[in-house]
Amino acid sequence: MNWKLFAFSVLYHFDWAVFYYFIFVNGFYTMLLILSIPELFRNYALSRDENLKRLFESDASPAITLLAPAYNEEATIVESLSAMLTIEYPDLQVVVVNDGSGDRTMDVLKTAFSLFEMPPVFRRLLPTAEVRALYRSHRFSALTVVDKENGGKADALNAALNVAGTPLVCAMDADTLIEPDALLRMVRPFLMKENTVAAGGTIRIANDCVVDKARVVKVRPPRRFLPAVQVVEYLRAFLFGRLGINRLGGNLVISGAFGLFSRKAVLDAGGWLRGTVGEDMELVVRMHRILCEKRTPYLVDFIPDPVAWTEAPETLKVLSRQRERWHRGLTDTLARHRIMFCNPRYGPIGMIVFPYFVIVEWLAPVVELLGYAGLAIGLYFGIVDWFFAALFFAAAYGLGVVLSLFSIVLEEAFYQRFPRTRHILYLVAIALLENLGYRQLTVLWRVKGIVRYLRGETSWGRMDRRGFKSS
Amino acid sequence: MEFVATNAQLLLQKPAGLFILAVLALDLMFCVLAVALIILFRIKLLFRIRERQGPVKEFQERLEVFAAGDDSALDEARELLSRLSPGVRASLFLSYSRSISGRMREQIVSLFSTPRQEVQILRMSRSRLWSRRLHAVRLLELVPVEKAVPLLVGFLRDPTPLVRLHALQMAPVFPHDEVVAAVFGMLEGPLALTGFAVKDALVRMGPSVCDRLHKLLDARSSEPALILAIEVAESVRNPGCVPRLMDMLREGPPEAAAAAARALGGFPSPETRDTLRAALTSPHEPVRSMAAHALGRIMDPAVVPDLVTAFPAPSFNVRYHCAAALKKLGEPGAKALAQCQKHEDPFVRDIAWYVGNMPDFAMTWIR
Repeated sequence: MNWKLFAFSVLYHFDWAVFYYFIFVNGFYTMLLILSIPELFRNYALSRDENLKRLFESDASPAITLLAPAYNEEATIVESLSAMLTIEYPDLQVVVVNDGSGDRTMDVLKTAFSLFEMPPVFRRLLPTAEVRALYRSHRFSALTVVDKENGGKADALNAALNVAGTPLVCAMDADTLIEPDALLRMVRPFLMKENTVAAGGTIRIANDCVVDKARVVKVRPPRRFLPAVQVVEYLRAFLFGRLGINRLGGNLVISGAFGLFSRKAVLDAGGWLRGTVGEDMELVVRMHRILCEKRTPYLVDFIPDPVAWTEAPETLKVLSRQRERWHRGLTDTLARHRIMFCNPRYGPIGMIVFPYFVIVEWLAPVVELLGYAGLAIGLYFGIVDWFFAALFFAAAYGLGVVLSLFSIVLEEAFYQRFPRTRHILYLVAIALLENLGYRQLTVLWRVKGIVRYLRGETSWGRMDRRGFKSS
Repeated sequence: MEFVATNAQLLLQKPAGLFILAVLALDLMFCVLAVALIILFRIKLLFRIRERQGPVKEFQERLEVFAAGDDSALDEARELLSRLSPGVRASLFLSYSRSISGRMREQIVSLFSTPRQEVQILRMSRSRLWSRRLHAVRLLELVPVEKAVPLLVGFLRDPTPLVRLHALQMAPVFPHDEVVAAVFGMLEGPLALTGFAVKDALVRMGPSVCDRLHKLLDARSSEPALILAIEVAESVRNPGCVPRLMDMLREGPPEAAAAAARALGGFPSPETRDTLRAALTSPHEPVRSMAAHALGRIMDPAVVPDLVTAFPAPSFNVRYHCAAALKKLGEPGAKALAQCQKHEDPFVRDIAWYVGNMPDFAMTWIR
């Protein structure tokens, strides 16, 4: 057998397979974009309805507990917590968990909020690391602080869930900046459908925005390229990615930065899983799995309204760690719940959404990386036509730009959060540049995430933060 | 150029090449479209025309004049109101109905109650859209009672939780038998989101719910419904419920018995005190905890020895509630609590210390 011919044949067919994969993936993205538009219209009408807003603000809204794990948040905890305590919501409790911080987080909390120790009376419905003490505040009756041994974010959330007694709980990061009316918006799906078990909202990037008392008061895109490109990325992911998937049968991801859950549903699912880096996605997938297996009608909803702001990594090093961790978490979750893949028992989740996450979200960086390698080899040996390759690249680039531009169109049509025209022009320029270099880097980081998962790494990696710009 | 032309010709002969060229053309077209849309939306934002609110503002000014004592302003307000669309009128009514009471409220209701508005509400109540039904619930006061009651009963069975929640808020305004029956009917349904609102509605309806409440307590229906009924009994302070609560404490299922113990704390009498004392020896931990809690509320120092005896229990909750009850019982309780801080059992010492050092206002949080 002529091995050279065989190798060329394999390469030729592989390049075609990559071509078909490209058509499939981009076709799917286009479908998501189209599906997201009616969802946006529906949500837009609801969020603009002043009467409805007034009704949501009434005493009839169910009580919510904010669950905020804090680990070494000494510098920001007072401001973040003050913002949480002033969220517009009729019946709100806040449970902060000091997850064995090594810094002065607990001392700062004690002083700033006049905490006093309470007997740790709560039902240990979920196992957690040892709770050292429970505190309440002289100043804010809605505040409870749990001081416990370090056990990770999932463990801290479980401890907070044990303490919370309200029908709805909101899991969030202590450093997330929340919109004042975020909960009034997020509670909407729960009050519209009885069987709603979880709801997520859009998270935006706050780098270079002006922040006052942990609230974003002036929106502007980041000056640096790296966080700015993530603004476009987030717009694309939230405004049509998750919204389109919602239309297909429900989301598998509710961001750990801000998500509202039915407490009972989380307890029934066994709480957040310790020992995984993607605990937010894992919980939602597990909820889907359990509820489908029990044949209980349920809904995991997503609202496109911007509800919270977070700080994006500003250096390649930190960003690479974050993306690598996200993909490791995705791999872990998909592997744990692989039984759901193309399984009709799980309905549209098993037949459409889960396969989408495997074939498009998880596999895409692998195929793309191999595609680049195959293309380079094919071009070198003359198997692939140069002209065809250039046109293919131009078409792929153009599709990427179209999707990014349309996410900016959706932002402009429905939310208009960027007040200045030059901000939008800047984002358009970023959308044009995003696919030249940045995208390829993210592919590398995501593949690295898969490799690290296969090696069995479970660390979070350090996240260096610059902090927000104060007014 | 020649290279491009030759390659393009070759490419056009292959289906994949044609496809790529088509995608490229579409990319270009959609890029231009996206940019055009962005410009369009930006222009719209820059020249956004503010909604004219002239008649609304005038109406509000007229009402302020009326509130200051000039009754003639009401007729002018009525005239201005007739110029507004039903949607704006509904919105205005909602904003006023939340903030005013007494004579002014009656006048406002009469001002907004027009035949046109009534037709609008009836139409909204039949809508398939939950948001329209929701508005109909909030505007029910503008409909004559004989029409509002059957509508409200329907809303209390609405499939959308939000509509049911607001119907429950509206229920005490119409304390008719059908409405009370419908609210009690909700106890058999899912209570996760609406339970607190059902309780609130029943409490606000007051004495009109007592007969049904007694029947429910006697019938011993499902546990969540029973617990909710016990909480309502506690809040409406109906003495007729006391014997039933005592029976429930002695013979009911553990969770309901615990709720009954807790509720009996709101009815201080020698009989309830003795029943609760006896409950301190119950085999069920929640019952003992709640009995201790209730004895703390009854404020009778005679129960101090019983609480001290029950204190060194293996259950944390029992110890905690005994300590809290002792703290509430004034000087004899405080002395007993101080003694408990020297107890041989370190768990008893710990909890006695915790509770002894808690600020007084925090005692109200113990549930």
